[in-house]
Amino acid sequence: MEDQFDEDLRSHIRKVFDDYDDASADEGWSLLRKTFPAKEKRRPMAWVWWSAAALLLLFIGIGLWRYEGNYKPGITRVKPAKSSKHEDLMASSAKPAQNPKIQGTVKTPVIEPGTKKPVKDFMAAVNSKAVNREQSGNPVVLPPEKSSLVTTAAHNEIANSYAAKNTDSIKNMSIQPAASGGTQIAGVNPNIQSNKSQASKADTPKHPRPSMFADNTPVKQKPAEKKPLIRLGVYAATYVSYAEGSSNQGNLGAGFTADLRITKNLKLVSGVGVLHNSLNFNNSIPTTVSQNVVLPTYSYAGYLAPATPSAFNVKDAANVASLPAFKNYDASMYGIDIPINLRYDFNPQKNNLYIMAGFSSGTYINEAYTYKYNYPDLSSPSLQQTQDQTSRRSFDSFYFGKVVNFAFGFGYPLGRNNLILEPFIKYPLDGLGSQNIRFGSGGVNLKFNFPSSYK
Amino acid sequence: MHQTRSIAEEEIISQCRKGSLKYQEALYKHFYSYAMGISLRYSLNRDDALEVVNDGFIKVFNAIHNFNSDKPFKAWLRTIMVNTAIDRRRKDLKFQLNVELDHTVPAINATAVETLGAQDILMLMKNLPSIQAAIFNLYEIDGYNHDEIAGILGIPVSSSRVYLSRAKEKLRSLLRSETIRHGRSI
Repeated sequence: MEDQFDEDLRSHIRKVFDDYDDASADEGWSLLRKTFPAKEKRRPMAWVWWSAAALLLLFIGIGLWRYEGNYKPGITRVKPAKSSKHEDLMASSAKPAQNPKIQGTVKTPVIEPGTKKPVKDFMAAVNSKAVNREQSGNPVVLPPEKSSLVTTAAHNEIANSYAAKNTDSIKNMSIQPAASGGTQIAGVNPNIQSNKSQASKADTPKHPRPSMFADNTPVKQKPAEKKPLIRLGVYAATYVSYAEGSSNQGNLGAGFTADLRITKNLKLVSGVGVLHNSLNFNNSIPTTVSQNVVLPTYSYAGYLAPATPSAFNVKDAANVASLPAFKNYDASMYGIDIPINLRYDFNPQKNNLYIMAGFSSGTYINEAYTYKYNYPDLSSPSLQQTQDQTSRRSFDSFYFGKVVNFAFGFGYPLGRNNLILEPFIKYPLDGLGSQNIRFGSGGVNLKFNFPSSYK
Repeated sequence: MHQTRSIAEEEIISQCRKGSLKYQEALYKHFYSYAMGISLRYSLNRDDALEVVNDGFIKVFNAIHNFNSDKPFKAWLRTIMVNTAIDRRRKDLKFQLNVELDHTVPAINATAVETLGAQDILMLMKNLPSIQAAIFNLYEIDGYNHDEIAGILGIPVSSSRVYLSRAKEKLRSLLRSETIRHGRSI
């Protein structure tokens, strides 16, 4: 009796509410539109983020390029002095600029016949440069296009070459001691006959010219150790992805990096990597995901009742009707990681030990989220079937600085290259990906670093 | 046994998958009454029910690409509405786990069961503790079993059975009462 009453009541309630009619749909829709602005706003935001990221990368790239172009370690650029036509003559005859390894420069004295003032000026310039060089201890190299480069070692060679090789070209020139103690070369004088003996006087110790350059000969500058401004690297990463409620999953990634030297100890490290992150949530689901998850139902109840009320057996329907029971949730994401880190080398001269910190931005090339759930077999309520449902996204969002990077590294030198082991951790500041899951990772990078150039 | 979905409904769902606002509105208005009929049974009042409906439809629009076209859309929508309503009242339901019916109940003649309108039924439900009303709705009307209800509400299966039994007993008591309540509006 009670069962019949319950069934009547149940059937009636189902029928009433399945046929329920409400005329306030318009009002409801206008209310919904206040909180559901569709997807119009999302697209422009995505473009804003993409544009910002592209601009940032562009600026970094241009900055690196310009910085690399302007900065040449160990080399000081000196504004070239005005060269006289005789300097050009000497430069062309001696061709010192053809030897780019020449260090320590003086200008070859070239004196016009009958004019002594330029000689004095020139010698003063030579002496002052010699003094400056000694004081500074730095080699001075003039630009080859406007000045002649002569080493102290090569200078004697040049002097000898006057007599030995260039007698033809300088046969009309004579070299005389200058009043200032320098060297005076009188040239292009048809009345003066030059010969080998005169020219060879310039090589004798008694001659002022060798003594003038004697100050330079013992100065052998040790070439400055050239360090590359930018080091490039490729790396492979093995790491574990973690999130609250997820069992840790081992993952792999790879990419390349560029280390830009800012100071002796500090470097700006950036690059691009492709990283895979997989998460497995057993018997739980991330909070942010649960708001969006909608599992299909396998219930016949309510659906058949209004259509065929007489034939519909409510009890049977209740038996087979089922809300799928959540089993587990998998997330698999292939992402592009763009880190911007600062690296501090403890002692770059002696070892390759460093620490590094910064932020990562990026996006996901492919995201796959799989929900696995059980539901009763419709043929038998006691049997369970498992089914999964996967949703995929590509380039759905761009995150900007949402991941904090910490790492330290130690390297083994392989010639000019380095093999580096770099344990790291990535800590999320917010949810990532289209499902906004907050996850991080920790592992080791195996990195191979090599210099890009020695400018 | 499945009801054939109309071509118009398939077209609406297909366009909603593409994010068409126009078709989302059409879907909303087409199923609004059905969704409201579900959410009213789980909500405290009409405003609450409307919020549940709207929250549920937002989930529908966001997740419609996950909807399996081979299954009935109404059943999928029902699941979403029920889950949304339960989620909204979960704290309230847990708080009322130990609350017993302690106030006078209006009663309706048993012979009048078939004449009960939606408002009458809702009024009847209001006389049940929230947890009992929710379990009655889940089990008797929406077809969930006790295991599922226990999982949804975070209560033991045995409690689900007990609360359902009490709810049905209370409804019988209400409907068999000699007194007939005349005011039927909420």
